[in-house]
Amino acid sequence: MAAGSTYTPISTTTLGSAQSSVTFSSFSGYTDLVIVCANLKNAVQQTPFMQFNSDTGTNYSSTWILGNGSSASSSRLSNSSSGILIGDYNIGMSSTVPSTAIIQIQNYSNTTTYKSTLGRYNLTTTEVYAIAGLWRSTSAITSIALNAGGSSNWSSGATFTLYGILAA
Amino acid sequence: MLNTVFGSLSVGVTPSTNSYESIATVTVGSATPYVDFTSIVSTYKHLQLRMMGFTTNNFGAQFNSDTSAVYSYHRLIGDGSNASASGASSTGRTLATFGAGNTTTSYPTVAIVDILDYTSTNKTKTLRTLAGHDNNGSGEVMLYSNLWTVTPAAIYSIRILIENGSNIGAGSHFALYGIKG
Repeated sequence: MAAGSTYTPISTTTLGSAQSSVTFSSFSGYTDLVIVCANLKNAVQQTPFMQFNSDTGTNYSSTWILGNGSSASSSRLSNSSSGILIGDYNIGMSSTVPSTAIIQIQNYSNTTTYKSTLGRYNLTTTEVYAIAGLWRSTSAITSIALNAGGSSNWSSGATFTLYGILAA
Repeated sequence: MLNTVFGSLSVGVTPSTNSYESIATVTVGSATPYVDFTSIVSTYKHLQLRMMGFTTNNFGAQFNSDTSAVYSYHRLIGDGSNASASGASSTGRTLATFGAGNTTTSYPTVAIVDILDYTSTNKTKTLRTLAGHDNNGSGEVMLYSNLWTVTPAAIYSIRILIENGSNIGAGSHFALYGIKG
């Protein structure tokens, strides 16, 4: 028997002006979270990252696979203080062509395990990514910062929507 | 933090009636060889399994108690150094492997499995999966497609198990959802 509808939109942010970071901090009561990012551009091409609970320690890591239209490759970033990778690593998102990203954060409120994430990033003109992320903390996630990276900003018009999924 | 600036137009979104429903959830209390979802109703168009688990080998699924060699897969894997692709025909595959195995059992592995058109009686059943785990220095991310190559039948039960027969670790969490069409 189904427990009822879920995949609930919690909050949407549409940037009216360039911002260096977007933060979600009110999302209790769900099992999983999904963040859908659209119309992403970086004013200056920098690598975008996601941080939890304002943690700036070297507790993040990412493993990814990417295809660039002619070849596939894989790489990783360990012991990062910047966060979990959202998009292009060391290339940055395009400053002109919009990208999209969907980030899955499962069992975000459990206090017994590290947090694993899955991400998909698309820049249709150049690359497609799948990303596994890790935050080495057993704390429940209470805030999520999506940082454009370095000195860059998310461009005006970018949208960020947070969904909550409840398990039966 | 100086560089933390909230979005300028952050607004609450009114929850709306949607087409995504939670069907059942299993949290593994102690290590077990399998997890079953049974009596799955046929009122949805698609199913989605969301999982966080602990295991030393790949997860997989069997449908309607079918343990015969009728499952196949193709996959794309990135291990942090190389990208590779491989596949296996139905011969010898007794489960629909969808990856997510992690040799470091203290780190959770996660997967999202879409089971498409699961009630169809005229199409063989296909799955697609995004899965992965990062262990801070090792790990994989993977995309799988699966086929259950039997005479088309509606799926009414799903068994989640480990490819090499080992146990699913304590604390693993499996949630099944229905998507209306």
